[in-house]
Amino acid sequence: MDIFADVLIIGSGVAGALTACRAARKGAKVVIMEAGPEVDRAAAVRRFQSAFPKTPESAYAQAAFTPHPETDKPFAFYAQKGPHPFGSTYLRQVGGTTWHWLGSAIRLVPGDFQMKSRFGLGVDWPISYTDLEPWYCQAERELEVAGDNDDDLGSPRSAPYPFPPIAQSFLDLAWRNALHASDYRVRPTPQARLSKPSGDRPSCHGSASCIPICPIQAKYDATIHVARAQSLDARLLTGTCANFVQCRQDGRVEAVRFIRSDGSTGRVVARVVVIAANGIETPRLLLASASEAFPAGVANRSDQVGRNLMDHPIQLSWALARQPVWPYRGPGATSGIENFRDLNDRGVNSALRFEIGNEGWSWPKSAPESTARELALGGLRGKALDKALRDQTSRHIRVAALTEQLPLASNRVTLDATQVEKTGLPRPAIYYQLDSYTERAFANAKTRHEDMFARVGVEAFWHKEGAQGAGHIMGAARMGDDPATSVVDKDLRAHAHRNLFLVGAAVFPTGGTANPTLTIAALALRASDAVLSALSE
Amino acid sequence: MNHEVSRRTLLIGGALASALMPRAAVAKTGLADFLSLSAELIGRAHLSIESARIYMQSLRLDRSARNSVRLARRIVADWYSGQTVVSGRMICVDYTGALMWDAMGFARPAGVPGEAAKWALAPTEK
Repeated sequence: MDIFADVLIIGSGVAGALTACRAARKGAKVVIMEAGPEVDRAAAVRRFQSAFPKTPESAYAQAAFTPHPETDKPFAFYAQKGPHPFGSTYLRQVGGTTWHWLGSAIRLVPGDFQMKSRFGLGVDWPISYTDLEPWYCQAERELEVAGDNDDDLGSPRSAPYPFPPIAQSFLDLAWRNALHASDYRVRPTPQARLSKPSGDRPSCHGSASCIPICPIQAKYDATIHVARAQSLDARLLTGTCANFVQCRQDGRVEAVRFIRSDGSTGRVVARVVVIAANGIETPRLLLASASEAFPAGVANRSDQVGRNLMDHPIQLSWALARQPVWPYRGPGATSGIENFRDLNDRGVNSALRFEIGNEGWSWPKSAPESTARELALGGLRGKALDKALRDQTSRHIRVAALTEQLPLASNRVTLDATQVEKTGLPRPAIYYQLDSYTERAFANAKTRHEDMFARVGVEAFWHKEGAQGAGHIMGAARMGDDPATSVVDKDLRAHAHRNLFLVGAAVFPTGGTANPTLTIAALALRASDAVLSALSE
Repeated sequence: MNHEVSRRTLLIGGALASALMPRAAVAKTGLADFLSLSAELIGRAHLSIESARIYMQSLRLDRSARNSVRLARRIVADWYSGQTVVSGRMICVDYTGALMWDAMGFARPAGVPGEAAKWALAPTEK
């Protein structure tokens, strides 16, 4: 069975949803193909609350048809081939991974686009910060970002934030006051969560569960733009997994083959195809679409599809403060330290972004449950237990340093043809290693964290050994001017396929240290113009 | 002292420890005893029967909890954390009903909306 469309969009996360919405608004006949199911928010909240451990994926059922990776089982979904297991995950469902993103909506800084020319590392982006700045503004409007106009955090702005800032937590203010006389400037984090009601969405009510789910949708997720696209007559196909991109000899994409969860198959024949999966699923589909004309896979004449996989490897540290700071309340993070993201020594030392968590020790220690058990098993009960539990949990603090991982050609996604999913797609195989730049970043981060803890005043502190995945899956289909060394051009059009676009963090040439979602959104909005232009070719 | 196990608790706990042995007491009687002991240990009268059933069942399977003192501590840990251990694996039994939230007093279970921007302030005393 063939379905016809002007624009086929594969994936319904933030990149796909924004592109779909924009194309549908211009009158294009849009089909959104989503491999996974729609999510029942209330059921997902209940699933999260009854889960152990409470991972970012714990709110969402594993689908036999389209399974997703899980933080606590790094070898279950990925075929890990490298010395370091790749720890970042994603979701395959309507709205994509915006269901369990934190909501931090941070821009890259100008220097992030020029790592090669400024520091001799990685590559430069084919566009500059200035090129993307108007699209950042539009992305902030679409995602209804709340931020503080008094501080651009190193990313110059041409328009104010659409919403006033989310209140910093009591805990943030304790950090800010303690670090006031130091180099660490604690600033409110721009966030895609509502600081005041908008439409039928309420403002943030501090449910303290941004990861994995906002129970009231105060935090932006891409189902908002999927619904808007549908209201503009876009057609959403759920449980429908693209498994082969069919190209003509001249490179034009003719159709995309799919399989549904019930086993039925078909094709979508579209004038323009946009792959908006993520840093794993996008290269997976392209590589799985190898044919006689394109034996290395679609868009892969450069052999760059799957390469340069990046994350923001995290150094996680936590401490017991001397004074109560009252964590476990509010959004997961409302402040960060942004002034270490573009120092002049980036040629040697990675940029660092410090995120101050409001969620106590839940990430490193699964607290407060673990604290309650530890105290009770130690023999406390009654009022003594209540007092100790309140005393300790009120002083739980943590900080996470997001580091910049340089693109390495050897860090890559390939296919494990020995294991094929029900969708017909081979299991993604990941070779992943951390180089000396990242190892040095971790050492620097630990030193910084200890310095911060000393200033805040703590009784004890701990460092998590080994990198924590940030969930920021970048690279693997990078953009560039040269078709020999990149997959898509600066408009995110595949070099060898005039009617194929890739949107999402897969196209990032380098990763900076900003949580990537706002940049994904800005790039998708920017690419939408080229997508619409391609309709007239 | 609160963290000491009272003689009465030890007696109930000892009886329960026997009752928890396989092929020992009738399940219904065991649950009543378990609720009674739980109430004694944690100082609360109204406890979820459904949770009690799961905590008790997990204790039946845990040989390390047959000692009265350890049994008492384990029961308190389960009720406070809302978790228990089954076949060596931790499971969540009652997250929102875990007693730790009342004890902490300043935070709610994650996923339960509160008041906008309240996180910016120190909590008011109970």
